[in-house]
Amino acid sequence: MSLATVSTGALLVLISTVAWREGAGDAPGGAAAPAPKNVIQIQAKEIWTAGGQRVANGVLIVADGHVRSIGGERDIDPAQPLWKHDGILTAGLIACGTASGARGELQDDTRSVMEAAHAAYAFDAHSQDFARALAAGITAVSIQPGPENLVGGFACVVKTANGRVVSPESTLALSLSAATLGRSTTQGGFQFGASEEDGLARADGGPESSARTQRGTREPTSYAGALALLDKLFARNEGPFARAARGELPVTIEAWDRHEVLRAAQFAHAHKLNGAIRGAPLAGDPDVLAALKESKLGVIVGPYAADQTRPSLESVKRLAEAGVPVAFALDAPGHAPEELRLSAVRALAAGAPREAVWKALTEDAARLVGASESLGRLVPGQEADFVLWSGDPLDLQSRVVAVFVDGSRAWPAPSAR
Amino acid sequence: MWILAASLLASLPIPRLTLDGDGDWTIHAKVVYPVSGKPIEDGVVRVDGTKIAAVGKGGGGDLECAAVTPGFVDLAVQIDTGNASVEQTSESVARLSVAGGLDLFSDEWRRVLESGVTTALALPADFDVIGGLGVVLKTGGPTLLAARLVKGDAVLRGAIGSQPSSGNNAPRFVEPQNFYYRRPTTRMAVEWVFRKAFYDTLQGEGADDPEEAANQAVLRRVLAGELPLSIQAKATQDVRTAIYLKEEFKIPYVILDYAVEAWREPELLKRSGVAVVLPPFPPDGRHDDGFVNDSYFLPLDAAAQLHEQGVPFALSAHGQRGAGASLADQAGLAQRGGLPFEAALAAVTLDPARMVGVQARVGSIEVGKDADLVLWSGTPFEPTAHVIGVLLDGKLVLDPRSR
Repeated sequence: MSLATVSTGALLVLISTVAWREGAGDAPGGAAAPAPKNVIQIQAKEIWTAGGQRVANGVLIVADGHVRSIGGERDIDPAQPLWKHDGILTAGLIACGTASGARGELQDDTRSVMEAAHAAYAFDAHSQDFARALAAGITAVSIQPGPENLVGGFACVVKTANGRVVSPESTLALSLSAATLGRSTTQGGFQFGASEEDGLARADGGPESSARTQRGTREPTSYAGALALLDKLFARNEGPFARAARGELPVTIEAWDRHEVLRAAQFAHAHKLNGAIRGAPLAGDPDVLAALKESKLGVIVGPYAADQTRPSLESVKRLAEAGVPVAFALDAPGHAPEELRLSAVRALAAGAPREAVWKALTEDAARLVGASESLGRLVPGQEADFVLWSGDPLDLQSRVVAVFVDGSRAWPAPSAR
Repeated sequence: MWILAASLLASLPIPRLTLDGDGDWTIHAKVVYPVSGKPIEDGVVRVDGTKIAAVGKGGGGDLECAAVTPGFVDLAVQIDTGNASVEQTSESVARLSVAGGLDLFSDEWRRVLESGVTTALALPADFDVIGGLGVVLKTGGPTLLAARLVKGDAVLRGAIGSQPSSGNNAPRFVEPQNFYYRRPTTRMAVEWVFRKAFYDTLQGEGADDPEEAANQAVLRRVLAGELPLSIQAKATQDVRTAIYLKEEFKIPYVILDYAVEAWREPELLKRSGVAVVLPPFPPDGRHDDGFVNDSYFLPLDAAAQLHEQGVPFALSAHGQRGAGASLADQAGLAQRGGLPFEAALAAVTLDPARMVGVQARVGSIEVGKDADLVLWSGTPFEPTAHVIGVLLDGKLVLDPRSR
């Protein structure tokens, strides 16, 4: 089957906008096939690199899966093939806080503390969740342990194109949300796994918890008990806790209600932890914001639903104005990958600065999930994960034309030929 | 002494200040009730910043009202995170504080503040025998505990009776599956756990465990009289048990909270020197316990009886916030039961402040104290009078001019 007969609109755009400047012996659209020395040159109408920089008619040169340079016409190596893209080229999107390929596998409520557990060993690399994310322009996800464990173990960063684990111990997952106290929230008489309505449902989109089925099987049952147990673990000064306290390992702390976020921010500040809060729908509250700023944590928000409350949507704006880095959670497979960009656009519509929203999808996301050394920006040395968009990616009418991961075209899949 | 000082002050006219900031107010009332002194007719309270700057007689003010009282102090405000406010994996967790589990964002704080309660004691929920430390805090202001805190480690909270055992099971028919298969399951066992905690502390038993050592360090402060012990004791037998505990271990300072039937034991109360926090007065006098099938009786004259016996007591709303159930309403009901007005006012202001050791800052209208004030449309606690204004730390949080 030739490319021209594949009848997706996106692909046709690819063909019409990208062409070999010189015949390099490969068919059009066959970018995945290794060019000599694995070099790819793509000229786009605009390249969004990092830190808000945009290069008009820029040329991205990729070698051996990494960004070699971003420049202009004069950087083009005539000996190498050149692709032209009549649109925008950006770094691949990074989705935080997701259970892609690992539905229901990322927490264990028989215990509270699982500091040696790894999300990297829990996901199915061949899950359709990854293919769908890739098609939405998401090149990496952070698979995050669930909220039910006080210490949930290690999150990992995974490439959506091939399931490659970029970092198996990207962040340490902690939870100071009600879900971690869930097993013991309700007192009562005899319960043999009976269902309990214990008021865990959250008004602003917190985690669904299976914690309603049992009770009293583990500590802690209280916020004070949770803090005391965490203090004890960090006081041991060993393993991941020591690494987190030294600032070598970022943490991601689940916290939803404002009082939980405040508690988490104060805890992180006291222990000099870096990383992010996951949740915090009302992070824009002035007192919460002040505590977050002091803690130097970022916030992983969303995904934002169509009926998301105004104060929640406006929190990205307030966080950005306060200089607190933000990223978006995907929460797949419960949410579709397209919701990542949709959440960003909803935050934008609620007044968040464009630049902060874009960084939340790319470089700030990479930073908050501990992968900024290799992902999130298009600068020399970074892994060449990028997306060709038909237009401004923060315009929902713009479509993904092609996605490249590690310098190779990953979507539409080269095997479609 | 303070009566003398107040009357001296009262004779001095206070010049009216112009309004030059959020924290500077002159409040004029037909009657100012300082609590620490005699009522001042045609009185004025001047607020400078967050503190009371002057109290006396005088002309006009920025704010006019029929009466001014101190902000109320509720020793049982019950705004907490419910079960998450107390660690239930052990029946005795003296080392933990409710400070770790507060939700200062709850709308309930605003509601009690607008009812006139400006200072509150927050306690862990009563699902443990010894549930941890309580804190005294302001009911408004920034949502950071540090900004609202009046006194950390204000009391150690315990509970006697059926509530701390209500969720526990004895492993009779099945293998224990969770930590609610634990002591205590009866009143007698609750009392046993309580006494064991104090015995172990005196003996240093089990103190090689760091958490137990931390628990015992708190209990030693209670035994030394540095920390009041607040015990929930509703029924007569629980009141008696709490008093016997106090006497057995020579605990200097015990507050009996939610002491519905304390009035039945006047001699014991007097002998032991405990202080009492009364629950709200129910319409029919009956307090039914939702956790167990217990029912207790609180007559309308319970407060009057305690007052006559000379037992220190405070009134409380104990989490009730409906119309007619606020702390101020309890003072009105206690008056209907025969409590004199002055005693009713003190029972919602200075007396509870003294019980938890915060009387230097709150509880009365005195120069230098926190500017926590309640402005009334008529004589306080009368059914026809309302709280029309509230100042908290000098800040007008309920504006009488908008009423």
